Amino acid sequence: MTTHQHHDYPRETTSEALLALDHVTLLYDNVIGVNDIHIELPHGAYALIGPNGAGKSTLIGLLTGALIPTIGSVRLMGEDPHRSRGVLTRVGLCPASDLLIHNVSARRWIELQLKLSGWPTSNVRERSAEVLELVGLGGYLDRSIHTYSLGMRQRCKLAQAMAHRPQLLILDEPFNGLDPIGRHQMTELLIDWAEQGKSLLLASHVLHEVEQVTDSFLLIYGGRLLASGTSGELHRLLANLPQQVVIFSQDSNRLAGMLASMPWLKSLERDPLNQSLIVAVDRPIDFFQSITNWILQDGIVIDRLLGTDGDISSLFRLLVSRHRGELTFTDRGRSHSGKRSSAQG
Amino acid sequence: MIEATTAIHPSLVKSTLSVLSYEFRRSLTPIRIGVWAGMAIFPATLIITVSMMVQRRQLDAADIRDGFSILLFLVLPEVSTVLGMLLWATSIVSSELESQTWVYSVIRPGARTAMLLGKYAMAVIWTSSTTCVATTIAIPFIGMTQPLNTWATICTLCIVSAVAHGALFAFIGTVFQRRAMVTAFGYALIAEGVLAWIPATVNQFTVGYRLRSILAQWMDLDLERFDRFRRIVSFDTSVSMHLAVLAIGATCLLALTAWRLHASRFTWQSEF
Repeated sequence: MTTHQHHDYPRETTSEALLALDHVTLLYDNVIGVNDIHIELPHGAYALIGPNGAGKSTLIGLLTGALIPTIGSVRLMGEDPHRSRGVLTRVGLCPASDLLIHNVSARRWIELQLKLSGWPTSNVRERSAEVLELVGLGGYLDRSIHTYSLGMRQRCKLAQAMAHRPQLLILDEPFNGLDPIGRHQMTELLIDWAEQGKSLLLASHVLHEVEQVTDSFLLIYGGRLLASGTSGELHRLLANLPQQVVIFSQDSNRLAGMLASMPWLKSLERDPLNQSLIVAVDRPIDFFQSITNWILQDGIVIDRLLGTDGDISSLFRLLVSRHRGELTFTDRGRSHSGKRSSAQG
Repeated sequence: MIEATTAIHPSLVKSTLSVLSYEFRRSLTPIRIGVWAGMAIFPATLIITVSMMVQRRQLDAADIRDGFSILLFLVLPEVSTVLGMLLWATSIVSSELESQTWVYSVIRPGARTAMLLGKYAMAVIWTSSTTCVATTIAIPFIGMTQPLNTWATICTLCIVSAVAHGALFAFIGTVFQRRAMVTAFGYALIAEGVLAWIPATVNQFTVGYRLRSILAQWMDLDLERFDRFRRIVSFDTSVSMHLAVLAIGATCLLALTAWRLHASRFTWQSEF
């Protein structure tokens, strides 16, 4: 897992990379959209994870040339997407915004998108029907888009993104508005896409939605790219970051005494109402090892443990704190200054 | 499996025609057809009503010809065309932004210009067709001499007016995306409604001045009886020069609009 900080060192970018952002900052007047993002990724499937307003859509806008960086440069498959728009023929985009289009059927709308992508007129009708069939709208080809449900419009957007057979599919919150069956079908479709060796950038604010599709994550928050890596690395990073755990135990008094002597304990608070302990720890790995030992050797009974693992908001709060240098990053017991440029978890 | 069998770099002409065809099909709804018919019938009815009132006064043929040429010009190439283009050309970009479909043009190379030109062409065709139909309906009722000459002149001016005003409003609508309609209406009111009627150098910068001058020369109007109109037209500059000024102006404005569309960054979505 790589965590990204203010003073990240510049890296060489190559034309083979799927995307390369060189210290990119984008300002909307005096509001920061994205802030000093520096990353290079090879072709593959990636999930861009961040809460609402984190800067995911701005980053997508930069990658598709719709937005121009205030500082830095963006390369998509070796090209500047704003200046060399030809590269965009290799990209399919499914934006998060709803499709509010009137008096046109999905088939006709996708036909236009295909023609604008350079497809010959003779092929567009058949391809349009094929791709709409693929996303499950085969029975509604000639129905006006404004009569579609939200989920159907979402599929229609996906169909136009895939229609011209791009190499890279960029999806912004593609699961919005989909029912459980629709989500499953969308997931299957995206897994299939990734398995074909095509690239994918999937932006979402819900971690578990994208975990099934890809194991590579980019974490963005407050316009900054906080970390990147695999799911396992994400969990390990979490385990190495100071965090708060709530313990529900019948032996809370005895457990509090045991915890109090531990060097990694930052704070301990007892909630008499529900017999729980709120514990802040520096080194979660050591904490969980100790808890395991106490259960096995000392017979401590633990009813329930609530941690930050899986809670994306907590994870982002921790990463931001670390990013600002407010937290110390511990790696297998070793402690590093938060101001270091990057750290491997 | 269907494959794209040609290079993925669509020609601008093909893309523009695709957008035009798409927009044309979209406009074939009962409401839009009703609006189209209303915009054709209302000005025609107005002119026919005036002609019926005037016929009672038993004016001579020259008065009817020149007077109704000016009336047809004011109602059709001026007011109806300006209103039609205001409605359709100003919103070329803002309507796409409102329906959140502009993003799909942004992602396709060349699509921004194709969308601009295709929708602009649609606006010109839509508006010109209403004014030309109105001209065709009204002229037989007026009972003027040389009706075919008048019909051809007014119809041509309707098309030229739509081309010139359309380029102007498309430019205004692209530069001022948030207050596009208000700004374009303000321009139409001040420039074409006030400045164009002031007998001074300033009116030479308006579309109305060029159109009026073309009308006066083509119809060979005797403007001694229409003094106010005579002072705001030019017989010194040839028709071809007036047409060239309008054509160059419209081309430059469309080029500027296309450049603006390519150079500017657009609000990606509502959250920004």
